Amino acid sequence: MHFKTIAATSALVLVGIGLSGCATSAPVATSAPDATSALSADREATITVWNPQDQWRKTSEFLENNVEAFKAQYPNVTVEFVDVPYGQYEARYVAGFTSGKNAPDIFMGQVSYYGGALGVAAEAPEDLQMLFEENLTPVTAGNFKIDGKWFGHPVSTDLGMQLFYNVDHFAAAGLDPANPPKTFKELREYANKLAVREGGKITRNGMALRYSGSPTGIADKALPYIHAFGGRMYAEDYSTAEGYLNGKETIAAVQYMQDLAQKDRVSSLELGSPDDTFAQGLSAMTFREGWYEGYLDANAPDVKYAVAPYPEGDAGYPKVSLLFNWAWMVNERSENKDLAWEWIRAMSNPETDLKLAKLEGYMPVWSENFNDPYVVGRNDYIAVEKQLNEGPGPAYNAPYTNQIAIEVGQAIEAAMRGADVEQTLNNVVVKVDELLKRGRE
Amino acid sequence: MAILHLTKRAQPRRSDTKRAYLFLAPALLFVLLLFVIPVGYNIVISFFNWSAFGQRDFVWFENYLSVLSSERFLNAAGNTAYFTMLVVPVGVVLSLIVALGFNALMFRKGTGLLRALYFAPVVASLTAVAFVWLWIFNPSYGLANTLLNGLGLPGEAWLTSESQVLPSLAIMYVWARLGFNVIILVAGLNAIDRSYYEAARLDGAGPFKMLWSITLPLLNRQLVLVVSVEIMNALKLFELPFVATKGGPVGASKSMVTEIYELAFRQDQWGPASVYVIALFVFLIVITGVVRKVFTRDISE
Repeated sequence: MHFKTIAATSALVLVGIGLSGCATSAPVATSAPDATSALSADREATITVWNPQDQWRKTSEFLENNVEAFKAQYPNVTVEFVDVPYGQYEARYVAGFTSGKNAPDIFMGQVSYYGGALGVAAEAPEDLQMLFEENLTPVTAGNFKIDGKWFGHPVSTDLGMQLFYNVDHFAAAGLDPANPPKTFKELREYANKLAVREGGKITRNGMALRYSGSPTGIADKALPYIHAFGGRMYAEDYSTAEGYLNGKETIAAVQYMQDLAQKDRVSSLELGSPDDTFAQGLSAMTFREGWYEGYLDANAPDVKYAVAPYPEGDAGYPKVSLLFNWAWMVNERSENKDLAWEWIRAMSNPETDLKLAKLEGYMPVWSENFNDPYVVGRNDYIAVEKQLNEGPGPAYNAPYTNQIAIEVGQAIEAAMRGADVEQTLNNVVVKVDELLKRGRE
Repeated sequence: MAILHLTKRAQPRRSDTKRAYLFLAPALLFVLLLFVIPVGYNIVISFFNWSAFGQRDFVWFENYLSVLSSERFLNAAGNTAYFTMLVVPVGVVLSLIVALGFNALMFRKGTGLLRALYFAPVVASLTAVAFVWLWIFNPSYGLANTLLNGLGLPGEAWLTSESQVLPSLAIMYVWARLGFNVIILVAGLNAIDRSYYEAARLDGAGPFKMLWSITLPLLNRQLVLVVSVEIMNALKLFELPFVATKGGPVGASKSMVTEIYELAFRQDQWGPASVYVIALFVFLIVITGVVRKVFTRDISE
């Protein structure tokens, strides 16, 4: 009798708790201060800033100590930085934003997901809309906007892929290091001359392909190929991937990648990641962003390399397109939203931008900094200059772009390993269209 | 006719029962808060199209139908089952061999250090284990291929091969768990009365006969414990593929729990994620029950 009573009571409690969470409502919104009320310099508050990027930890320390204008204006406001390990940031962010009280006021996140899909990031105020529009590089601007509106200050423009090549391998293969491949046709010919095969196995990549690891990374590295052949992941209006992801241009691009691995046998699917193999002299060519220069200088000082612009494909030069649009954003439901935007204002200037770029070794965001000796003097400037001159490429800002990239990356991974390219892309179009549809709802 | 008077078993007093519940109350509260309520909530969510950020639409059994018939679920379930079938027999047998070795060591000095060395990987988190073995299994500069090349053998793809990725993860897992199982089995072996072996020896039994007829039956409880725990842990495979392979290559190392994480935290699809949780939970309960039923023996004879 007792047991039955306890069991029945427990079941009722469970159902009650479960149904209480079923209301179709967002997490309890904290009341935001009246937008028209002036901010008092005496205001006491603590604003928290979350940084999930393991590779950009110096940024937290720098911003904690160098946003002087904000400290001077609001001496009683404490800015607390929290470094969230990248591996768990998604779970931490979900827990934080759904809890309400434990959410950050400012956070680094991907604009398309946190601003578009989840709606937890606030649209920038009008003055910042103008400031960003007038001053941040237009080459990547589209990647940080949703419906034409800025949702935060970009962390880095990271201007897309460049061709890194090993000068010694070029010379040994009878190729002129001052004359790197300028088209995909030439790239394939060079790769054939540069690859080394022993006993049926590739022991040196003529051209390193990103074939394993995080699927979003695989998709990211494949995008320039796709754009060079005239393809794209999905329609500009996010309506569908049909005819784009499985269009003949995209198929040709992915087929090219597959041929490098399977037919030409100039790209190994066993040697290791392009970053590692190029640094070890096991790849003669690879595509990477400009930050790779700093990595090579620090970790592989004996590798003699040069950097050239990305080759041109059938559709010309694949213009800059960022799959990862990381920006400093403000929590829409923050109690200190006004203060958070004040902090963003205080750090939004070319001086801070340039110092951060030099500190972390990536490209700046403010247009005027692209004339600075830090940028002009880089080994990869010839590639950077082309990227700036060519202008922006496709922007992928559908709300679930990260999830779309996972599906696309897995498909490309399968294709590189020998799966039928057209069939594989046809299959993934269905999944991508479902994600696009979810994003529109 | 003899009349049997059956003594009526004394019933516990009501005050004794109340006292018992009072003692159990704190633990029951934890079970309620940390198990019963979350499981119940999970069941409720599985019937919804549920977003952590707002949308909650009741969809009846739609999640169950779409998940249980999906290739994605079958892939994850298959990988998890295959991984479990690799690590449990190998891990348990290896643990038993090592435990028997420790037990047979004539000289007890130094075994403490050896045991500590075997136990050391258990203390490390699986995340740390994954990072270490990522380096060992690196195809171009990893220790594993360096050793193979040194022996004149070709290097392997390890974690970057569809066919090798799960066995590679199994190696990592068995290495990490070995010490824990050895400790349990050594404790069990130490508890076996030596007189059984003496008697068997006098009867002319050889080492194998003694192992089969004395050691294994008397170690039954510990073996069932080790097998049950290993099955449960293996079915909950997460850290190793999450850190080392991201579920690749081509989904070949995606497990049930990595899919739960992916659906819940990366895709904000809590309804389907809950279905995965329930499927895993049911499977765990059934398998654990079967193991205990099949392997537990009455050793009184």
